[in-house]
Amino acid sequence: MTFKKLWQSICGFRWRSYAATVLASIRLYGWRATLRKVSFRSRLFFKGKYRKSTWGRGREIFDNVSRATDLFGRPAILIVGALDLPQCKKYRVSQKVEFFGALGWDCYYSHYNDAARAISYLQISTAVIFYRVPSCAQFDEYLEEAARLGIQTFYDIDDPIFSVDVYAENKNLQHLTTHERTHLLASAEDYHGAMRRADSLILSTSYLQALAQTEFGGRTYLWPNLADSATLSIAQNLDCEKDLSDASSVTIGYASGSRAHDEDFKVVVPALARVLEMYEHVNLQVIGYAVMPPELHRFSDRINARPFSGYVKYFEALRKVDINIVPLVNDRFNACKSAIRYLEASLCGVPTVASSVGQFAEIVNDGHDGCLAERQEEWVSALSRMIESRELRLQMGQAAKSNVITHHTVSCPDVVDRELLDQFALSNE
Amino acid sequence: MNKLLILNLYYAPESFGGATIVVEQTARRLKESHNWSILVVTTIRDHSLPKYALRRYKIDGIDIVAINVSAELQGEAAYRHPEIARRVVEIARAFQADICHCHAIQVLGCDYFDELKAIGTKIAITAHDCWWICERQFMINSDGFYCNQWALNDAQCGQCSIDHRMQVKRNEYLRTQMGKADLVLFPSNFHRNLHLVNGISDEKSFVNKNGVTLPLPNYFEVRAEAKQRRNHTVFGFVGGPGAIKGSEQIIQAFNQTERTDYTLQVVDAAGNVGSSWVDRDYWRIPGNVEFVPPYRQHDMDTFFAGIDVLLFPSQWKESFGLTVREALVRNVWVIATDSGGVSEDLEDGVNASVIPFGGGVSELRHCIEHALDWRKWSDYRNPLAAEVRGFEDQASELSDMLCTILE
Repeated sequence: MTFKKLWQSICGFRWRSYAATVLASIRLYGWRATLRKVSFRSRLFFKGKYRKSTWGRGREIFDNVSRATDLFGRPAILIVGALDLPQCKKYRVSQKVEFFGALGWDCYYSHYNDAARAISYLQISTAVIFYRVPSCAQFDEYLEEAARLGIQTFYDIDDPIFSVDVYAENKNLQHLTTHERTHLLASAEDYHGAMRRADSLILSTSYLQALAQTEFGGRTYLWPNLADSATLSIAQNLDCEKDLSDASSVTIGYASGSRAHDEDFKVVVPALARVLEMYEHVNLQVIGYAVMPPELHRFSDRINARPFSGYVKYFEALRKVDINIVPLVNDRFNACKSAIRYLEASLCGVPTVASSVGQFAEIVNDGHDGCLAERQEEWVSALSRMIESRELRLQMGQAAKSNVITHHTVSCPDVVDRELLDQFALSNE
Repeated sequence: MNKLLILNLYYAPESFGGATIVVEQTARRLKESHNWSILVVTTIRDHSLPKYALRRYKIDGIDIVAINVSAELQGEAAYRHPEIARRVVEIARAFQADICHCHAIQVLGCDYFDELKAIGTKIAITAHDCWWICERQFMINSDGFYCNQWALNDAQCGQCSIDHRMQVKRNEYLRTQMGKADLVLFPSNFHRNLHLVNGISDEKSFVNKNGVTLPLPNYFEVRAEAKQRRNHTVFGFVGGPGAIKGSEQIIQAFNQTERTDYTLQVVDAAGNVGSSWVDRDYWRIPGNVEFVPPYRQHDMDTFFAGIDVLLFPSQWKESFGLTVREALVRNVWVIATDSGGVSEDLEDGVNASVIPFGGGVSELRHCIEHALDWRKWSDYRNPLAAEVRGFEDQASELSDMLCTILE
């Protein structure tokens, strides 16, 4: 390789995209695998053998295409996303597959790192939704290909990860290592960059939608997290099992899917300490991650913790509790949260006491199908009422279940923005 | 508007072989004149794409989805490949095809028939060659000659196969798959009969005789002018080197005759696929040899106006023979072997000199000498030219046939 050619390559190289790809690889596959890949590609590059996939671009035969809707006659949606986290895939990908399927539309999905699959499905789709895809080399490829095919692009997001300000406000980050925190905040720019380039945005909650509207302008649509048929089936199967709950004790359940909720848990600790002190027959069941603060150490014999071991097990554990609590710090980050933990507990017939934050404040009818609390007295009062009356718990649990089944499942009418569906139907205008 | 998914191994810009020409020409007419919505599934070979990746594009108003097959598929993978089958089904589902019409589908295979039928897509097949009954596709045996079987014999076929048992399994599988089709078409009676004796049901089998590109209205004037400019007989040959199309017989025949008052025009058809057949050492004959660039559908008149006789001494039994029809409809005399579908439009002594199949070089030499003696090419008109039909007529008949399976 001549010096001139090397210099041209360095100048023309998309360092930003490359860095994003390397970072994503480190996240997914670790340092060693990434180092191996980088050294392999570098060797090919210096030998002059590295040929980037062109997807046939530059060949003029590919310049001419028909409008996908004209050709296929009905919407076919491709979701290209970060599918690594099962929960994210479930709520933002699988639920869309189910929803579109019920409309008789085709829906495909692909991990954003699987370019062969993603670009192949683009060829037979009428719209593409990117879910949590950071700005990276592949994302550029997908956008170019979508532009070639004249396909409208949507970007779906369920966290304010695009906003450094809102993210930094989240106190839970203090419980992460410096490295993790820095990385999370740095990645915000990647998501922001990617979202900016999509034609329309899809958000999971109304607060998040308002935030995105301010940040990006343009078209934004609401697509909430819902209870899908897989979840309903799990809940239904558990319903058939024999109820083994012990009527002489009351169990408060706290579920946490990650270490990023320690600060949220602290919101309820004083109230919990009070309640555990007041009622000796009350236990605390922790499902997943939680660090017990010193105030609760003296109740350790009444606190039981089990690690998160899969979605079905989580439901089994959830069903055995009497009251579900969802404490959240009232900040802009949590205001973007969806009420998944209310949906899940409700399907098990378990009533929820939640902080009056985000979507919880919108869908929980306080005192009817759950309770909302802000101050410690409100937490103590709500928990006490439920602890003291088994009848109230059962009644509220059933009301919650009915609320979710009637208004918050994938098959409920009008759960998804009508305008957004019209956009899909009219895609690649 | 009914939706037709057309499958063919090659398609523009990689137009290769007679079947591809028929597919391209009929597809365009089905869309333009018969109100079909068309999507073509084909293959491309692009090493910059991942294996089996799809590319959608459009040529001459026809939408195409190409599947990238970068590797040569061997053995079972050449006729039933789960990756390719999955993609075909997905494309058919997205397109909501009413009918899937399979033409030359080697590599694409046919492992998707059941799934297509399950989603309500009808299956039509046109057998352009012997792929459905012969592992070697053209019934050319391992010695390089036409095996000349009628009812194919497993033991005989096994001797030409890499794996005898696999060959039997393949043929059984393809026969079963062909049986699932709602319509099976053949370009000639000969080809249909060959398949009937080999176990293909005759109830759903019909002949949809191939059309050709008809000459432009001014062709006959152009031909008359071209004829005036030359004072000796010009032979044309399109088949290229290789035993099957009869190039060796042609070279031997010209070397055996003492005449040199002719020109042989050899069409470098390999130029269409980025190769070349120009080789003066191979085409060593006493008379004049000219190599002419490959013609395409829109400019074939120029080539045929420039020749008097088309040589077509095919050494295998053709399913149709497009070149022969292109010549016949343009008043070009044909010297051909009695090779399957080719002969169906030939009348010995009327529009052609027909050599018995498997005949020696002397018959060919005799016909060539006879043509050189005759010399009255300016007055020659093929009285049976109307027997040859254009793509319009073929597409019209095909459209009607496809509609019958939708009823």
